[in-house]
Amino acid sequence: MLKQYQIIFIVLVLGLTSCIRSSKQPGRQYMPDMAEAVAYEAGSPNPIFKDGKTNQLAPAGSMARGKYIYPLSDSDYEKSASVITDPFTFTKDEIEGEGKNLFTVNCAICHGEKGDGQGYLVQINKFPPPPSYLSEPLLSLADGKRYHTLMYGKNMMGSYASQLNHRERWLVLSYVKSLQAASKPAAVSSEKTDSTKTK
Amino acid sequence: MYSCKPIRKILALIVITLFLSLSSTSFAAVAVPDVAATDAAGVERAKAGMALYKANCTSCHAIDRKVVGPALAGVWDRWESEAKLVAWVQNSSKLIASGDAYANKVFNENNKSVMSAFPQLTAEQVMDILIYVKNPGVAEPAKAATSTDAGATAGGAENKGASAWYIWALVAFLVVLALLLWTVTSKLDKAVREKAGEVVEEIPLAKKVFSNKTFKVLMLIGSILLVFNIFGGAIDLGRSQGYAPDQPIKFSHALHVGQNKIECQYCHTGVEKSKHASIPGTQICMNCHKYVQQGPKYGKDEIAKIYDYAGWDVDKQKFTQAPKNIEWVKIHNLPDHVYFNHSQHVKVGGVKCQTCHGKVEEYEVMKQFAPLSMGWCINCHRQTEVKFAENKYYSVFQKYQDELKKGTKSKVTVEDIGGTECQKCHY
Repeated sequence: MLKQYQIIFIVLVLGLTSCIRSSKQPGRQYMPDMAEAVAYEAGSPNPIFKDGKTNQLAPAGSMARGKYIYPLSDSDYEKSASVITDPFTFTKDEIEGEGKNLFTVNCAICHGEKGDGQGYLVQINKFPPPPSYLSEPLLSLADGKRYHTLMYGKNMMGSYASQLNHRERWLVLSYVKSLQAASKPAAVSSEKTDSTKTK
Repeated sequence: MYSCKPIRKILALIVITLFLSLSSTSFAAVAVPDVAATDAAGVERAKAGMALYKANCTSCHAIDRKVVGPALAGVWDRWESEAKLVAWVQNSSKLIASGDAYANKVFNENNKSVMSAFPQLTAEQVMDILIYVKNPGVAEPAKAATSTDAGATAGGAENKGASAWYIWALVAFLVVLALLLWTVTSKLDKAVREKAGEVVEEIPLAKKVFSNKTFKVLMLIGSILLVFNIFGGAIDLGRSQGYAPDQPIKFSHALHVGQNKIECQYCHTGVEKSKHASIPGTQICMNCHKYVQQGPKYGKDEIAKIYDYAGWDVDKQKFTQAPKNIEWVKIHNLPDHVYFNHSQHVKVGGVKCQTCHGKVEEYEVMKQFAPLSMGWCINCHRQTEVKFAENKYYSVFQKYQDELKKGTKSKVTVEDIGGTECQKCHY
């Protein structure tokens, strides 16, 4: 009688505790033949390449089809005003939809939903306010300089070259323009039509 | 006696030059007044200065430390006259070109980056800014309160995570207490019986425990639990729900997403374009952490790790070394024989991040929220309604379109358009 209970007790203790898994450990696997990738996965370490990564940049001199190559270097800020122009014509839907979404995700956290430099991080005193889009000098900043700023960053702002592609950069800038146009009083509407014409 | 004279002369010279140089700096520096909170006119100027400072200066300068440009505190002692400082602010390139020694020194010390010209600022406005920079407290007394607020909420999140640990400690304590009380009562019982003259037979503890009725009932309950446990454990094989490994940097989603309200896609840029949501590189961290050097919970330690990985030199405000790989531990691992694509779900399907990842904005440590089992996938495919009318792609599904029009079908689920076919995910 006693022995039986002792055995049951030991089985119970083992059975109830052996499946406990610390949150620091991944789950147990049973015959994971097809679960583990044979090939190296994107983002996984890689012993073959020198830098230890599987994700590699394209070799120097090669270029993806349709990829836009920005012709200016970091120090060409002044030059960008005359060299870089907007090649796209976006519809209102694109600007108000995708453009607004890109702006909300990438820019609004500092520059504010309206572009006034009062984003949420600024309001809670975590990041210094950027200049407002709605007043000079940014109000009449050349398109090329805006694009150059997205490519290389400026002052406290970092580069957004890796987050946004060529089209998305101009789309965001178009949305910024629409914000600037919306904030202007009706008296300067002639300028507004001008900016749409140049596009 | 004879040899002392030249030494004296030299000493005197040194003293005189020292005095002259000291007096010249103290006389020539820009005089910025201290403002008391009671000085209404001064406070007014400081407030005007704050507005100008925030609109024009903060994208390059901080008060107490070097960021893009040098720290502004003490700038009044570094320049020899107000006129020159104002000239610098209005057009720094002009002052550098004029050959001014200090202007050139500042230019060279700050990576030769040109300070933007502010011709619109008058000398009085520049002084207003300096008054604010010297007396930031009088213009915005509310600032201190908000920062302590942030600290308090961060502490709250920490307590939440630790509460489970306290519960286990409490349970252990109660068990120990119960055992202690049990031994005390049995000993007392024995003593009482012995006093009464009874002959007490020594029963071994093990026998006592195992022949106890409550114990038998407990074992029965345990056996039932065991059955559930075996099934649960078997089902859990190959799954990692709740997996929350230590990461190389103690990155807190609760802070970045919950408190700071940064969008998920700001860092996970690939989520709408690619199979992978993508883990951000250090350059995305540095967008903010060039400026933010200290966090509310871990101070400077964790952010210093980013600088180390990115090769950023805080003192020089420059990237000085090659970046290193941050070896994050991957949490969500699907078996290799399952295909999953983020852009398909997020961009096309419009599924919220939280549907599969839980309330990430509350996670201090990132963890796997969903079981990521096949049943879990299939269940969602069966229940989720496809935005059939809004997406032109689905106009070719003639039968469903007709049925929707007739009203014989109320909604089209992912299953209806092949979302539970094997080769949809396994190929």
